[in-house]
Amino acid sequence: MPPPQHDAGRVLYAGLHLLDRQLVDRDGRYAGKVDDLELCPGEDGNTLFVSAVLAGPGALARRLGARRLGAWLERALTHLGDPPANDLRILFNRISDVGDHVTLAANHDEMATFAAGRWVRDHIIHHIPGSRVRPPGPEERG
Amino acid sequence: MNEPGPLRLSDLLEREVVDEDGRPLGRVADVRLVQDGPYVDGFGALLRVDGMVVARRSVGIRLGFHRRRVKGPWPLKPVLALLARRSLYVPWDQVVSWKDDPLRARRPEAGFPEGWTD
Repeated sequence: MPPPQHDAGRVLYAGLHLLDRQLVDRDGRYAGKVDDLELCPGEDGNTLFVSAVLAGPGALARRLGARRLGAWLERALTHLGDPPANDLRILFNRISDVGDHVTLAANHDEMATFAAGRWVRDHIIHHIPGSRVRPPGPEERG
Repeated sequence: MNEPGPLRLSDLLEREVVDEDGRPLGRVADVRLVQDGPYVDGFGALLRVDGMVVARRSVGIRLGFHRRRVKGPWPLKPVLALLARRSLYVPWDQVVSWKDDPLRARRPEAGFPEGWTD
């Protein structure tokens, strides 16, 4: 595993520095956006830590107030792929850096956050003559 | 706070904050995170919630208009920076109960931590 890119103790403001930032995979490709953060209490029950980055239309809808629609979308999107590519929670062991964008220690094809983009690529762009998008392999279908 | 499951940042943002006597302090405009939590392989220390920026109007704060390096555009900068000056910083250890709505916290005595306007 690569070492962390920043010194411990640095300060970030969640809304200013994290929300809506681009998720970029380890090859520099677009993999969604930071739509929300999951906060979990520590052992003392009161200290909160950011345990995961949440991404996808469900998380965004919930953040914008459409809680029922968001929860439904989150459940629906988990059926679009097999684990771990259907998990909309990105744990920090799959994140290598947080800076101007959030860099993932994964390929965007492995991320559920790219599910919508993957569907458009495989079902629409792939059929456009000259698109140069390779057809999805048998292991990628579904 | 109505959905089951772990707390989300969006459950905190825009939540009303009151002091121990129930007097309103404002709404949660942003959350300050410090990277000094438990170590995670590949990333380093997790981000810990250190406190909240509480304000009557949050949009200028989340867009960063309170920072010195943001120079414009006029008149957004002076107006939103003025609104941001009226905000409070509530350290997380001053929060009495984050599970309640409105969120209850002791009225902060100190100002913003260093670096707020950088």
